[in-house]
Formats: sequence, structure tokens, C-alpha cells
Amino acid sequence: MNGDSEKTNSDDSALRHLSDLRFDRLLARELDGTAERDASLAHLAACAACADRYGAFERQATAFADEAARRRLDDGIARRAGAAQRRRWSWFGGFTLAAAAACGVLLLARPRPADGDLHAKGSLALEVWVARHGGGAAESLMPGAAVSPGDALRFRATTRADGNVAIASVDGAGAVTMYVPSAAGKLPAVRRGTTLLDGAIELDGTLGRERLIALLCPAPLESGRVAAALTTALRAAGGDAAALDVDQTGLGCAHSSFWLRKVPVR
Amino acid sequence: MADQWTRDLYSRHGAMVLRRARTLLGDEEAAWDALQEVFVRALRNQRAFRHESSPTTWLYRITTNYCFNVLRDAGRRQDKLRDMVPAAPAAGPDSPPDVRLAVSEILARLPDDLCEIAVYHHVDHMSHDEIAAVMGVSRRTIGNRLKEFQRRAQAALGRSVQLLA
Repeated sequence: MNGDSEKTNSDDSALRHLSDLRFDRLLARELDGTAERDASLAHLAACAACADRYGAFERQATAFADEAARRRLDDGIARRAGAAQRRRWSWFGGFTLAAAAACGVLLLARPRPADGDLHAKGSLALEVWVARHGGGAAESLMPGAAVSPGDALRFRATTRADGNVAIASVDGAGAVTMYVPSAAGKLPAVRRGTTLLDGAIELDGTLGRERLIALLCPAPLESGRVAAALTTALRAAGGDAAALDVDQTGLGCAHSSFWLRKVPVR
Repeated sequence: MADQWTRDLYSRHGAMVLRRARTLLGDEEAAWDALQEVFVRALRNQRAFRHESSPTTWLYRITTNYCFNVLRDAGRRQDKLRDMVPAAPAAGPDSPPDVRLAVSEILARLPDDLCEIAVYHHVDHMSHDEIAAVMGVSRRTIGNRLKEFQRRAQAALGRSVQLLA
């Protein structure tokens, strides 16, 4: 349901709530970076019925990921459709993964000059890809998807402005870890549009829900400052990653979050 | 490359396809079968997919049409069995709506395109604008077709049709 229909279609009974199609497109991240997404999120914040239904869709998506993995249906589909032999993505294969205490980052971003304005919320979307420790092709993760120690993650950011990107993790033990950039230094610059961020990280053994926080900042901040601000905000939230309010960090960055569940290797 | 594309499509949209197949078919195992068939069809027809359009709406249409075929086939089998097996007792007024039965009924009596529009409106709660975008017709056409659907469904079934999921 879009704004036009809300204004003009008084006999359309589907107008009062968001449609299933809208929920599905939100979950598939097809609306990231659009005004339609912003309008949908505003509606969800004000409409308990839609928020409940959207929450149910999110839970179904998580349950589906687990059940589909158990049934190995994607393999069957590829076989039946005569798909090419599976292979790992070359952009994963080009890296040598090495775990550190929390994660090992292999290549650092190449900074580029930033220009243009930076929009506030809604200007950043994060896409997470995983190469499973056990092998197989790289796959794009749904929010809430299960990952395991040893899996390798890569990130793709879509922004509506030039800026400087950071990705931090708040793991199940309440630790803040910088994924991008992983070492001390300034945040890597990105141009408006979609950017595959350099570097891959290998997940450590801390299990539980993990919140990835992506930031798009107007200034090339030091990664240590970002980590410290998030740690302070986490402490203010009582160590609850879900309650961590990025807007209270004072960093002045647009942000979005992506949740994962880290489960033991099956 | 095809495998990579499929996995991406599957991980992002599999839950949606399964949910809609469950609703339309009303059978858990049939829904999982539908999930596989829909993605096999998607993979085989990926050249037809316009990359500028939404994968979600594209898969909505494949799923709907696949489920219609399943229900139509099941209806034919049911017709053959009807003379041999006593009919189940009719649902009472307090029974929850059975989307599968309702869709099967209207599929046997009305054109597919009318049924498709009705499912998007009543089952998926889509607005006229959204249906128009998915079907590639005007919003006015959708309004008219929904009125036509109600009129013809009422004439064929002797009651108005609500396919609430």
C-alpha cells in the first residue's frame, strides 16, 4: 500500500494496514534506501497490529532458515534446475581467513575522499554474506539467521550519500568488536551507492544473539572512538545490546542494525 | 553463477513462498513441495526476470499460479472421487475460513486472472495499487475486476466470497 492509495482509494479495504507484500519486501530488503521503507517503518511504529504481523513474519523467516537448512532444499533445487556446480564465491576465496581473539580481519578498506551531504537515518542499509565453515557457496543472510563459529562474513553497504563506514558487533557476551575497520585507524570512505566492503571476518566461539551495527558517518572518525562510544552506550543500556541506543553515542552517524544468532557448529 | 543467484533468491524469499503456499494449499507437505517447484521454475526462467523489477512480486506470481495449478488438479481428482466417497459434512457457521476450499471453489468457476486478483486482495491484503503493479494493469482495472469477481462469485456460489487468511 503506498501513499497515493492511502489518499485516493477510500473503498480499498486493504488500506488500513500494510499488506503482506509490503512486509515481504521489507524483509527481503528490497525497500532499503527508499522513502517507501521509511514510511513503512513509521507505520509499524504506530500500528500494533501491523507490528505484530511483521514480527510473526520475521519469526517465520528465522524458522524457515533453520528448517530449510535441515532439509537441504536449496541443493535439490539447484540440482533439479540443472544449475552449475556450486563453488565458493571468488571474493571469499581470495582471502585467507585467520581468527583472532574475536575475529581476524584480512584486508583493510582503501580510503577514498568523501564528499556530498550525509543523510540521517534511512541512508544506510547493510547486507551480510556468509561463507560457511563447512564449505558451500556464499549466501546472503536474512536478519536473524543462524551462523556458527568459524563462518566468515563479508558486508555490502548501500548508502544514499558519500560517507565513512563502520561495522561493529555487540555479541552474546556483551563485547563490542569493530569488524570494519578491524584495526586502529580511520573509518573507510565509501561513495554513494552499493559498496562491497573490503575484508572478511571469521566468527569466534561466543554464542548467542549478536547485533551488527553499521554506521555511516560524515567524518572519517577513528575506529577506537567509535568502539568507545558504543561501549559507553552499551553500558548505559545495562549491557543489553537490544537497548543500545546508537543515537545517544554522539557520533552523529546514520545507522542500521542487523541481528544474527550464533549457534554451535552442526 | 546460476547457483549463486538461486541461493540468494532462496534465502531471501523462501519463507515468503512457503507461507503463501501453506495458505493457498492448506497442506504442510504440499507447501514444501510447492516451495521447491516455485524455485525450480524461477531458476529455469530467470532470463525472463526483469532485474529492474521486484523479485518478491515476481515470486508472488509464480507461487500463485503454481498453487492454482495444484488446486485445479486436486479439484479434478476430487470430482472423480466424489461419486465413490461420501462427502465430508459441511462446515458450520463458526468454522474458521478455509482458504484452500474457497480458492478451489472459485477456481472451478471463474477465470484465473480474476482469482489471482482476488487472492492478492483478500489473502495478501494488497492494495489496488500494489495489485495493479504486480499484474501490470491500471488501478482502475483492478477496482473493476474486484467488483466483477464479487458479482460473479456471488452468482456462482450463491454467497459473497471472503478469502481471509
